[in-house]
Amino acid sequence: MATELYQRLIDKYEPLTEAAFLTLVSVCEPISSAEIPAKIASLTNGQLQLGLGTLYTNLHMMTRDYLITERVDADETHTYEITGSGTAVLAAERDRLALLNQIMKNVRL
Amino acid sequence: MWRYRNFIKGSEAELKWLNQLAKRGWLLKQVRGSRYDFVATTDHYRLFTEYVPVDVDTTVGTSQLFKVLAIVTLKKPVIQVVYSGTTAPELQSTPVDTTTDDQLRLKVAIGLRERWLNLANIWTLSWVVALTLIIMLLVALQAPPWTYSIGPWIWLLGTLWELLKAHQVHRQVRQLRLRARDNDGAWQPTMHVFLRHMPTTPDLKAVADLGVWSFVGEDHKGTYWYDLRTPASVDEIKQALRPLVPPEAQINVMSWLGLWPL
Repeated sequence: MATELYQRLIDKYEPLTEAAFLTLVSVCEPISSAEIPAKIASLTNGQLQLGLGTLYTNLHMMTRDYLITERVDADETHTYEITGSGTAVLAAERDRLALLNQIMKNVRL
Repeated sequence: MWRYRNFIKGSEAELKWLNQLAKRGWLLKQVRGSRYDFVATTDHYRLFTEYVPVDVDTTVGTSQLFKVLAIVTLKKPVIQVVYSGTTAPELQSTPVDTTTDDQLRLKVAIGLRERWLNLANIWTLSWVVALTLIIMLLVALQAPPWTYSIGPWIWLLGTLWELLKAHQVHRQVRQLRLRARDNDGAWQPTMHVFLRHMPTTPDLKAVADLGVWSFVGEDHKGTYWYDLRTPASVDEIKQALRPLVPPEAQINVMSWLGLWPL
C-alpha cells in the first residue's frame, strides 16, 4: 500500500524541478520556514536561491501531498520536516541524477 | 510617495521599474489597483515578484533573507502576486528561482485588458444617461449653444484614454501570446477550405492541430467545405492536407477575407 503511494508521488514529482528539489532537501531535518532560505544558500554555496513565493508554493504543495509535515507552534513558528514519502521521492531523484551524472562522466566536453 | 502605473502585475516591466525605484531609495510598501505606495529607505533592496496560488499562506513567517513587501490578489485569474525584497548582499546578483511563467502573465494581462474595456463600456453607458440629463437641464436653462459640446468632449476624451490604456495592454498580450505560444481565445483568421473530387469523406484527424476545424457542407460531386480557424498560411494548410487526399483531389483555400482563392 505504502509502496503504491510512494510510486504515485514519485510519478507525480519526478523529475523534480530545481525549486522542488531544493525545498525537499532543505527540510531533511526539522527546520522553521524562516530558516529555509539561509539553509538553501548554505546548501548551494550561495549560488542559487528560491523566491519567497516559490518556496511557499512548494512547501504548500508538498505538505498537501504529505511529502513534508508542517507543525505550527504556539508562537506561530511553522516547522517543516520531510516524511517517508518525501524521502522516497528524494531517493528516486538521487538515482535519476546519479544516472545522468554517470552519463556525463563519459561525455567528452 | 505614490505613483499610478498601468502595469501587468508580475510583469518584467513592473519589476524593472520597482527595482529602479528601490535603487533610488523608494521601497514598495503597498499595491492597490494601479496605485503603488512607497516608503523611503536607505537600505539597498533587490525586489522579486511571483505568482502564488491563493490557497498558499504567504504569511507563514518572515525569512532571514527575504521580506514580503506587498501581496495583491487578482480576480482574473484568481492568483496572488507576491512582492518580496532582500537586502542580503549575497543575493543582489545571485540567480533566484521565481515562479513567473508567461502563461500566467498572459492570463493576468488579458484580465487587465478586459478591465480597461469594461471601464470604457461603463464610462460610455454612464455618459449616455448623464448627457440626456445634462441636455434636458441645458434646454430648461436656455444655455448658450457652446455648452452643449462640453459633455460629448469629456466623454470622447475619457473613452479615448481608456481605449489607449487597453491598447497598451493589448500590445503586451500579443507579445506574451508569441512567447507562451498560446492562442487560446485569441482572434484567428477563418480560412475556407474546399476539398473537391473526393471519393469519400476525408479523415482530418492528422491535421487537427492546425486549428479549429468546423464542417460546413458537402455536395454530391464530392466537394467538402470546412472552415478552419488558424494562424497557418494558405500554403501551410495545402501542404498539410496534400498527403491526406488522393492525387486527383483538388484543394482550394480561400483567405479569411473570403475574396479570392489564394
